[in-house]
Amino acid sequence: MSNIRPGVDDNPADYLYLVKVNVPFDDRNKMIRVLKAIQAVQSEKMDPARIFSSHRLPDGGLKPRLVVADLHLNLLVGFGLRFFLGPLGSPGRADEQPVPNFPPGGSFIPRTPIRFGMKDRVVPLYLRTMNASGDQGWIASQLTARNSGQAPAPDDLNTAYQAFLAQGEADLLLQIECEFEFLVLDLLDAIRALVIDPEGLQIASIQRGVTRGDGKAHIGFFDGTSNMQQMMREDPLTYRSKIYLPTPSAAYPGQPIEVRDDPRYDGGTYLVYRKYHENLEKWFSDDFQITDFYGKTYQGEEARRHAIGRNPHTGQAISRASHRQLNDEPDHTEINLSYNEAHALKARGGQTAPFMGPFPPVPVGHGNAFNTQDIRLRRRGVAFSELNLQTGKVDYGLHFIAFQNNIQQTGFEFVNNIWLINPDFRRSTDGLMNPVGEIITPLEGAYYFVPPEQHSYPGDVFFE
Amino acid sequence: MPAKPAPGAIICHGMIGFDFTTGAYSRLSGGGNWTVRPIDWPGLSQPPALGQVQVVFDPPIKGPYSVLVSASRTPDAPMLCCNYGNVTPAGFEVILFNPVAVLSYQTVRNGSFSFLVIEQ
Repeated sequence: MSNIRPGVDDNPADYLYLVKVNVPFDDRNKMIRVLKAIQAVQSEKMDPARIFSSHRLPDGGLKPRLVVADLHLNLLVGFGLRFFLGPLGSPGRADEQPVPNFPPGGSFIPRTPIRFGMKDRVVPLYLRTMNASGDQGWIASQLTARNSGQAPAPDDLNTAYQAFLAQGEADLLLQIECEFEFLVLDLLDAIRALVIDPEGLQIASIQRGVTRGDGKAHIGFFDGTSNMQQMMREDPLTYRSKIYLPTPSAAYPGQPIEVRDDPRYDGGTYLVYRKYHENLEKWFSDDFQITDFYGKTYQGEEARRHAIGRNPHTGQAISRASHRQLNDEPDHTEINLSYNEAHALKARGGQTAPFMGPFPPVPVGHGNAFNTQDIRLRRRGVAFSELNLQTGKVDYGLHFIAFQNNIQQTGFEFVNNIWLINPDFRRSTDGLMNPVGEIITPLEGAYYFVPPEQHSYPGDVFFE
Repeated sequence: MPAKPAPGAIICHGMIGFDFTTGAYSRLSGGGNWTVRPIDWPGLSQPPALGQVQVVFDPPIKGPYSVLVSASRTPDAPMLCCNYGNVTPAGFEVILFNPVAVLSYQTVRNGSFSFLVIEQ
């Protein structure tokens, strides 16, 4: 693919900050001024000619480093559902029409934004309140632990769940990244000084992600081994049909707006953000175990390989038949031959075949012939390791970021709800994400719409 | 000359609509001797509509019968198809599916359809 969009199609830089920003006003002109001010900072800090430091050439000479081309400084702006309809719990968010995870398609009532005078635009179709299976279960287990083992009342659980959802959302998400952390901070500080503070915006949170440098997540396995790299290179048409609007393909002649996003949003994409805590002590313990569909239990290192489906040292998939390492195939389809309980296979779906489902699971013998579907998303997660300066303890985890053009039906929610957390899909709960295993805990998350690349300023498609 | 067999009689027919807002199948037209509901999902009293529905005869049909089904296209699946199966005296099952789309969308779909039941 010759036209890579930085922040989406390329690999994440070593330092990636996620800044959640809320806008405490609804004035259209003021909002446009804010977005233009962000653009002004971007134009200055991301000037293609801007130089920062240099590196030594073999002949002893020095070559200056360009901050964008060489150090990959980038800013990507996402717009949350809050930006269009207000915070969760406000009147604008009442009676949300759900987009079912399965089957795909359907006609949905277009929603008119209630903020910033966007009367002639619609809210991006798949921008909905996050609905990830497993979240309520995780929250329930935390409440239970806090309450001396007593399960929470349904109302208490719902209150905690709504608070979890509301706390995860923001009007704007700034994804700032660079190979040098100073340049991330420099860009962020300029936005704060020139946009956020003078315009009265609020920083809801700042998350810091840092790659480990060895290509692995903290669980010790390579992250992003199968991540549409080949499709992007050799078949950009198919790649874009999964990541960018329009979805699923060019519009049918006369197709009404109810069933697809505004054509002005073509080239935009949806960003899913989830912050996952990883319990590494438990994961790396010799006692860690998983059980496959047939009741066979694996422990320690063998269990971890079953949970992921790959060799942690080589990244190669492991055959569920021979238990040998598999050679790479185009688009890494060899993962289809790995363990059924493997995260890498559950997240990929496997080859098109009937499966039992969808969520919630049904007993064996009651499945129906649904197509597994060819569902792909572009992952762009970055690890985090948060040092507690008081105790010296480090919290490990992953800022999971994924791009797709339909979150609910062919993107994150489908993969999470219908595949990963569904014990009947491939006859096993995901070896890594299994809530019972308590290895992964979601801390927060939300969905954002990333508009097509701006011609004037981020989000110009909503106003011009 | 052998006697000409008696022509079949349409004993049951109807048009069934899917409401994308409520997510439910319901009768749009047709006789009153049938009902429609999503196929059974063990453990769920109100199973979700997933492009697979059961037409239930009331009362059941004793003799052999023929079924014809035809899907009504939807705005986002203009070539929507359907077929039938699991034919019993109590009713039959209809599956709606989209045969023309990218792979991600080529699977069962919700939509409206019509049917005819001819008793022989």
